[in-house]
Amino acid sequence: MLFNSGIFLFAFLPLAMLGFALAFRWRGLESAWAWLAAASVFFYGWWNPTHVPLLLASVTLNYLLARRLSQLGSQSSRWLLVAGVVINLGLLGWFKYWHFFASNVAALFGHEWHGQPLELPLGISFFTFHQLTYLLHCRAGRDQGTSFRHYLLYVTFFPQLIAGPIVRPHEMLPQLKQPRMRAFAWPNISVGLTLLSLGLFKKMVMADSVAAWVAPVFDHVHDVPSVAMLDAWVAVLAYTLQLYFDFSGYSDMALGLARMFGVDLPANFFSPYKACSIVDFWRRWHITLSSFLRDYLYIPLGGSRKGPVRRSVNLILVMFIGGLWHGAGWTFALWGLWHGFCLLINHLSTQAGLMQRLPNLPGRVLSWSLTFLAVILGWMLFRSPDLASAASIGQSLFGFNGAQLPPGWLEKLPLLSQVGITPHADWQIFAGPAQILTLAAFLLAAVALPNTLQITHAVFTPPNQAGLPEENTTCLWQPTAPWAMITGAALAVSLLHLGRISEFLYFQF
Amino acid sequence: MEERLHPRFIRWLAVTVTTLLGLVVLFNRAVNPYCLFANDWLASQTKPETFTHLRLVKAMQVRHLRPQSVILGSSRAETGLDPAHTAWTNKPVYNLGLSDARLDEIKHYFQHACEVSHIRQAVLLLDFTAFLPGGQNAPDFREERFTGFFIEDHVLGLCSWDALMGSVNTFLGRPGEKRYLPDGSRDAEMESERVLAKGGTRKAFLAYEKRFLMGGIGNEGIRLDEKELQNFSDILEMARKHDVDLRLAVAPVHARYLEMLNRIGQGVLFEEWKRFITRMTEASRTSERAFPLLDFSGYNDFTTEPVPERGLARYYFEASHFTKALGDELLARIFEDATIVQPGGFGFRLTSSRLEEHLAAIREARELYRRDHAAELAKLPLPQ
Repeated sequence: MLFNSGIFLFAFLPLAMLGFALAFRWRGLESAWAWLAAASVFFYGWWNPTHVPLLLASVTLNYLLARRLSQLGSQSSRWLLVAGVVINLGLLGWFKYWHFFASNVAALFGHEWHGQPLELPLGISFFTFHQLTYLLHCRAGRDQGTSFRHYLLYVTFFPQLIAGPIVRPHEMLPQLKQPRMRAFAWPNISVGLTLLSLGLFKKMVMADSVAAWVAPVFDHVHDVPSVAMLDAWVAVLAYTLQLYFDFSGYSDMALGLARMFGVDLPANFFSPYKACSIVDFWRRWHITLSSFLRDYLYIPLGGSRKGPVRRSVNLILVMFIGGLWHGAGWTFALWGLWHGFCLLINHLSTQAGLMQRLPNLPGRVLSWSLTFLAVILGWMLFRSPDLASAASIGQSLFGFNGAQLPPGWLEKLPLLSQVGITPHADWQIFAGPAQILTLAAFLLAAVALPNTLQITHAVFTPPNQAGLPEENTTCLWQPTAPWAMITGAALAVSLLHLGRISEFLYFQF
Repeated sequence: MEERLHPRFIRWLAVTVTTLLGLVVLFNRAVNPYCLFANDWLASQTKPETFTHLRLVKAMQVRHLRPQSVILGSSRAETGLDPAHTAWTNKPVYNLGLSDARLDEIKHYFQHACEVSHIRQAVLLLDFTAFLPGGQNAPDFREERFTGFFIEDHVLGLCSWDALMGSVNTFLGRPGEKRYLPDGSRDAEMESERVLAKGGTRKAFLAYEKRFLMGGIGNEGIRLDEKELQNFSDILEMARKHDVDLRLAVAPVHARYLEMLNRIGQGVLFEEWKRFITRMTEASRTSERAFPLLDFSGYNDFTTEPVPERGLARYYFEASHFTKALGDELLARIFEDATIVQPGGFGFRLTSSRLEEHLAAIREARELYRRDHAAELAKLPLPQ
């Protein structure tokens, strides 16, 4: 059941809200949370009911462990926490990495691995991280006697269950304990609907409209002698935009849906393509994952406290693991390493004050361009089915497979033929000026327009607001007729796209 | 911020969404791009979205038109067979040919036509490749469509972005990828223009042959598909049940197409297929009705038409698809029962008693054709 499907928008969501309201009115707040937890488990079971017992067993076991850790606090055995971490990561590793590990070990010893990859329980990467943070939260003695019903809802809450954001216990659990005046406050509904509508628009209208330009190149690299240069650029840029609008659209929807039930989830995106450095990019892209990796991996490894060499090793290691978290494949690992390498360069250049020596505007333009280039090269690795495909597309991007233009263009600009550009008519996806304009317009929207969090700043404060860049806008959402018409138009256009249902990219991670 | 503003915001939002969606529904209903309704409120000259929603449009059009005769088959039938041909005795005639159709789809559309109208006459143009395994029904084929009112078609046809864009294209008279006439056949004029725009018939022949031999049928085509054979049998049974004057024809593919079939090792299977369909169309019991089956796939003046260096051929767009000029010849022979054709000839009536004689004559003609066109055939791409 996708957020952008009719069954979710017109059946599940209204029924979940109605049940929540009735439970609250007749049986009180705790019953309403219980209803919401049950609805969330149903939502999960809709995908694949056979994974529900696994989810519930994992939640129960972790809750029992957490209770024990909470009772003993910092006096508890370190091994109890280690056992919890091993169980959670073991489960994730078994489902997600076993096949990858076994096939690579077999290949190392010259054998062929004939096993099949296991079917990955949906959202396992996300609910594993939720539970790990809760165990650490309890060991630190910060838990305030969370009930099983609250814990179940914390892990399974349907807006964030499948693809995040990764929520820390202190960001959500206190909200469940706050007394509520009524089940549905109008401000929650209006703000929630706005976030949901904008998210739907990003996903269904923007991400899906460029999606068609991605797969024909990335999935068919080996079917053509070489990818033409313009095909490669269009595919890589289209994927760069698709992934952003898809994932940030999903995150907006998650925030909006949670807000409808009175829960504020942490922000996951803050205009990442506005970043002028890779460090800045990771403060804006998949914020809850990067802060998780920082707090639970980078800092425990020593962070930057143990000298520049150790910091570099830590950075590379954390980004490598972050890459593998996205999927069991060498392209993901390489993507992580690439970002680790870029972060190192970023730190070195900051220490040397390279960019500061340039005048303000040219410096910013150069910083942004280099950052964006590094990011899209990363996405090229991330999307490629294998390293050979990534290498081939990379060669095409930089002209190592020649430079080509449509014959008609070369006839008008014959000078280009003399510098080695050859005519090419058999394009995989390149479709001319309209396509380039679409990509440019979408990129401009990602780079120049205020983001959803900025627009709703006056009425929505995510729990991780303190860590977000301080960039404000004068274009603030208000519950007025013009904003209702803008939001309504976005929602109406999105609903018209319901007939073409496509999955969210981050569901696979 | 005052809390009372929020309920008003939600009301405004609901009004905006409802108004916009309502306008879209009204516009789509008025233009009717997928022929969901029998009449258009805003008349348009053509329906450019027909090709992209072919299964939906044809299911609807046959329901609205209630023809007495239908043309069944694949894109060859919808391109080459003319519902306006004078030989048809039961009118109106609707071309129910479907691009890339499997026998399963043809069966369902024939059954649908018989259910929504009193079909008296039908011509089924048989395509050998439709009997091979490995194919699939088109993505827009939906069996639920034939049970009556299919809500998904109406929701998506009235209230979707695709339908809205389809209505805009229809309203503005933009040409679609392929143009269809209201009788279900493809606009021959536009087909010719398309071939000309791509460099003429020779280029079209070469492009088709390259596609066919570099990955057309594949290794799956070493036997006939049991399910499709059953579907063929079901079509005949349906014609008997509904008392339809069904006439069958083996498609008049160009001699170069037959050469390609032989090159990929399917020449023997092609003959085996003819034996099978001949047996099936003959009455197995005296009380049972037999159906005339004519073979147009041999070597004759039509199918060996020279491929012109420039411009258009008279009878073919490429090796597989033929023009209305050839389709008219075919229909004339199908409906003129008295015509006597020699074995191996264009439109020879297949019967068990004379089938082997006919196949032998075709084999002989093939050798002759190969000898006379050796240089030309040597240029065909190698099969992959």
